[in-house]
Amino acid sequence: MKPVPYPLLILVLAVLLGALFFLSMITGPKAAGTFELLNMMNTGQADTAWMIMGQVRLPRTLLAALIGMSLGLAGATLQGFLRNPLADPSIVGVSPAASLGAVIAFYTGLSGLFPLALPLMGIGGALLCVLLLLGLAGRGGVLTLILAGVAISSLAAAFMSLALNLSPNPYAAADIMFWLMGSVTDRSMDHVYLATPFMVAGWIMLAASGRSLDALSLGEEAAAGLGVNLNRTRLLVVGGTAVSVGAATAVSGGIGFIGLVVPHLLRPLVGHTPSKLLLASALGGGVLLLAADILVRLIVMVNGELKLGVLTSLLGAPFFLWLILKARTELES
Amino acid sequence: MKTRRSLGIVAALAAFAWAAPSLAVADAQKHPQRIVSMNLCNDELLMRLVDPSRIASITNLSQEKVNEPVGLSGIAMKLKVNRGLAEEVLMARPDLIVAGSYTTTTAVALLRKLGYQVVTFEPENNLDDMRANVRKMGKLVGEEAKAEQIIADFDAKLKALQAQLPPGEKPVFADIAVNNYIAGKDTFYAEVVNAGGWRTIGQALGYSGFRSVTLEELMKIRPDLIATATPWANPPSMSTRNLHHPALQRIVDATPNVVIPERFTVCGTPAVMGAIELLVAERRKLAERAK
Amino acid sequence: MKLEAKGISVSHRGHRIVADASLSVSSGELVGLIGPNGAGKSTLLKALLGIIPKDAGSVALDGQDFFELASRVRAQRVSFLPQERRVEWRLPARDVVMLGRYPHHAGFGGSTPEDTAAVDRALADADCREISDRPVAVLSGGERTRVLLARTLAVEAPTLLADEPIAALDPYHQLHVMEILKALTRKGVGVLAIIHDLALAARFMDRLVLMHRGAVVADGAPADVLKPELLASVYRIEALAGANGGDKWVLPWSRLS
Repeated sequence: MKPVPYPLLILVLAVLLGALFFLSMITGPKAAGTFELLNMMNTGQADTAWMIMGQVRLPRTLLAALIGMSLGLAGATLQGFLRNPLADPSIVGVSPAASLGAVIAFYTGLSGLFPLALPLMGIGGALLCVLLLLGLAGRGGVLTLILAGVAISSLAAAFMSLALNLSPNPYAAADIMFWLMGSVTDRSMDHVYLATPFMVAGWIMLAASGRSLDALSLGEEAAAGLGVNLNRTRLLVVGGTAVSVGAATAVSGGIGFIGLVVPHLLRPLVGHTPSKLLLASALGGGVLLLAADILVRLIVMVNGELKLGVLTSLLGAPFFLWLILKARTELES
Repeated sequence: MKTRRSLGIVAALAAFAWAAPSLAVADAQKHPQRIVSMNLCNDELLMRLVDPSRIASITNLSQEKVNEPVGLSGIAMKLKVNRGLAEEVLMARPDLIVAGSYTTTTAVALLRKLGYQVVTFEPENNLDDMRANVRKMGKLVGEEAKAEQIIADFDAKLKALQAQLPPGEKPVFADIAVNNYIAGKDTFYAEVVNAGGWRTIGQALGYSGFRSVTLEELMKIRPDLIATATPWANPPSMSTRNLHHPALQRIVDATPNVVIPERFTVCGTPAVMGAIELLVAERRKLAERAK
Repeated sequence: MKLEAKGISVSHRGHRIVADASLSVSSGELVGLIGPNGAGKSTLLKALLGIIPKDAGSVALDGQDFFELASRVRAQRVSFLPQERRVEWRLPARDVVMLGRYPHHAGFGGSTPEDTAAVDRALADADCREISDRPVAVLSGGERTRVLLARTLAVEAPTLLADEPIAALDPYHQLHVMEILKALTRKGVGVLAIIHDLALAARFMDRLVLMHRGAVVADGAPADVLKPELLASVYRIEALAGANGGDKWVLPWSRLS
């Protein structure tokens, strides 16, 4: 694939994002279709219609866009930093850690105290993960960091299985399992207000590492020789990923594959330059997740809504497999 | 004089205008007219207690054949349904929303935040909880008398059925579900089974609550009745394959079995009477065979 | 320009790798850092640049403490070609060479006309103009080394440190790279290169620094350093020597027991 002029690519992605944002705002269940809502506005029940648009659809749309952007950006940054096109935000272990925080909230009943208790505990889990990462990997190299992330993932997964195993009744277990599948359904503006500052803080950190990722294409020693501060870069990448993806997971549960697939798709279009991939992947991630969330609402399933995380996995995994098969020779060179 | 009069009228009108909505609210609070249920079990209670014209929406699950509430299927099919999404509930413009305390927690939180009255019902642990929930629902919808009648009818039927039970230790009824999941004492299911004249396999093993047990433990107890179409058996799942394990197969083949339709046991509502009736009948059959 | 390292010591897990080593490189010099495998050459080079930490020693650039300078400034004054020849991502050669301009930018700006000019000059000096649009991943070993060398040249630093620039190259390309480095010194750049090929070292280098077991054991003209006694004690080899016109050559011949 030939690279496309960068400003044009960004413009196209931004326009696509805007279009999907609009589409997401006008998508809803059959009972609340566009026709019904317009009808409501005309027959003096406008406040219900506005409530649906502003308090149900808007937070959902915003979260899908922001979370998609966080996942895309974090994925691109991690792939650039680890110099590995198979890296994904989950590699630092922050998604499972945030999920564990949420599961503990469910399990102990703390999630019932007030609505934001659940995502707050999720963010707590993510921050704990960051501390652990820095403690375990500390001054070590990239390999130590990855191993620490894997260790944290495994530990979190083990505890979550334990919680499910010892769950007091089948309803609680089902509740936990459905949350883990990942969704942005029926989230409120409070969720948006809670998660956005963390996500934006993460974005700033990730963006700041952008240029050093270019230098890192030459390897760590060459990058150091060019003046890159490797420790600072590592802190920005890991911290930025943990904060943005951690907040995202805390609010939505586990949504995967966006951070893996989007940078992969867009890399040839930006001429393989890591720093240019960051903004493109952020926009691309937002586009992809919004599209998925629209699809989730259009596919009517008998037993309840298809979960967003399930859809991204169903689409992402086979796509990723195809990517690997196609690029097999390239990866080997 | 004239100014005072007009001021007086304006004041009265203003007072009425201010009071009228709260009057309306107060009345609606006593007799909600647009009730939405987000939980299968509340659907049934609602349909038994209030006129269909006051029900704005029930869950789509109530329209499924397998969940048909006894004697109410005609009503259920005519009502509007929701799938637990906040948007659907909002479109129904409810003045009261009833939900379970699990699985729609995000929608419930959102609806509460938007100022709607959402009352959650905890799952029942025993028959007293069931009676309490019926009363709670009766009070919420302004039909306390009807609620008391439902409870009275249930208790009367229960007493009559239990009078038919032969004396002696309760035999074991094996109701093995998902992953050898069984109901021990202190569960609603066990209390229903006890009311029908049996003990659950969980009680026989001495366990409390819902838990899974090993195959060996299951084989230790010799049941006198087995249920093969237990909850979660339709559509087929990995669980029911347990019953075909060679170790259990002989026991399953040699023991009388009963089919208890899901709709009698999935909710902690008076519908469980259906299950109790079946179990009492089986208990009497067992007593006949023993003679 | 003079880059001077004094008394550098580096140890790793209690094991001394570099012991009290000193060397210098000045403008217009082509200095060869030689010694057997494991002598500590790469380690010394990296410690000099600050890529790995050192236990003791100082580094001065034109008399000023090298490490007091900001890392960006250090990178502008001393350019480094490491042993690692792998470039991740399917970048075209020109973009790889452009990475050499990294030390000259703070923040986010794009490339300036100055950068493009520097890249063009570097491509010309390293003889890579014909391959500049091809992805580095598909280039041969010799081509890739020249592109990476061009990247190092694009920094336009007065000093260049190279770790085994001619490793795994065929004779044609080895000679080519040595010629490029020599041409560089004629422009005033000071070059320090780690090298294993003693014949090429003898021919092209102005000065040789010989390391053995972490220490510098000789520092001077090739003729003075590649003496039979030192070759025997450090390399445990015997070599033939000769001359071709004005150029002297040294050829390792046999191992000593």
